[in-house]
Amino acid sequence: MQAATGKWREAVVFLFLSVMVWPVIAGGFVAAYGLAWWVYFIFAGPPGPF
Amino acid sequence: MSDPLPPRGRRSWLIGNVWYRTATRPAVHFSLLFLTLGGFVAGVAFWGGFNTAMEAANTESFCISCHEMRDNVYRELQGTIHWTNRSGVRATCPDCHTPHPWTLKIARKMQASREVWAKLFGTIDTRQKFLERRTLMAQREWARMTANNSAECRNCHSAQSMDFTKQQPRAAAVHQARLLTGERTCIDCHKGIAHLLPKTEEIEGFDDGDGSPSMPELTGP
Repeated sequence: MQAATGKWREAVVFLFLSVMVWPVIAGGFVAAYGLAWWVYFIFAGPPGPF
Repeated sequence: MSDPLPPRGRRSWLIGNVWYRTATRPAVHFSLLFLTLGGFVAGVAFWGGFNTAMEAANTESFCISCHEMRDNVYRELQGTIHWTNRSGVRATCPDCHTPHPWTLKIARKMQASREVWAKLFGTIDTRQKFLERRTLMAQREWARMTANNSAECRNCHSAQSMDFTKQQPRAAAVHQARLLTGERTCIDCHKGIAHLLPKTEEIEGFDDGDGSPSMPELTGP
C-alpha cells in the first residue's frame, strides 16, 4: 500500500478531482437547475416565462 | 502516512481502494497553498469555459449550423425589417428566441434539448415536413412570447421610447390605446414579421379573414 501515499498518485487524484469530477458535478447542477425550472413551468405556465 | 487499512474482512471495495483513500484523506505531499491555488485556477477555467460554451450556443452561426434552421426560418428572415433596415441594426436568432436573463436562458436551453431529439429523428428535415409542423411550432413560440409579455421584443423596443408622432396614424392610435395600457403585447399583433406565417386558416380565431393577425378594435374602452 506504499504506492497509495505516493506523490504521483496524489497528483493524479488532485487533477482528476479538479478537472473532471467537480466540473461534471457543477455542469450537472446547472442542468438540474434548468430542468427544475422547465418542470416548474409545465405546472405554473402557461407556458411559462421563458 | 495514511491510516492503516481496517482488517481485511471488514474492508469494502471502496474503503480499500487506494484511489478513494488518497482522495478522502488530507494531502501529504501538496501544501494547502498549492491545492487552493489549483482549485482556484480550475474554477476560473471552468467558469470561463462554461460561459464561452453557452455564448457559442447562443449565436446565429450555431443556430444555422443545422439545415432545418438555415434553409427555412433563417432564409425567411432575409428580406424582413429585422434583417436589413435603414439603421443597420439587425436581430439575430437568439435575440428573439432565447431569454436574456441567465436563469431563464438555462431553462430554455434545457427545453431545447428536446430539439436535439427532433434533429436526430428528422422531425422537420425537409421543407415539406417543416411546413406541416409550422402551425404547431409557431403557436408554441407565440404562446411563449405572449406569456413573457414579449420580453425579447422589449430588449430592443421600448414603449416609453416610441415617438408616436413618427408612426403611422393607425399604428400610433393602436399603440397608445392597447400597448401603453398593457391590454395587448407586441406579439399579439406583430406575428409573422420575421418569418412567414403558418397556414393561419388552421388556427381558430387567428384573423379577421384577411390572413393577418386580428387587430384590436379601437372602439370601446
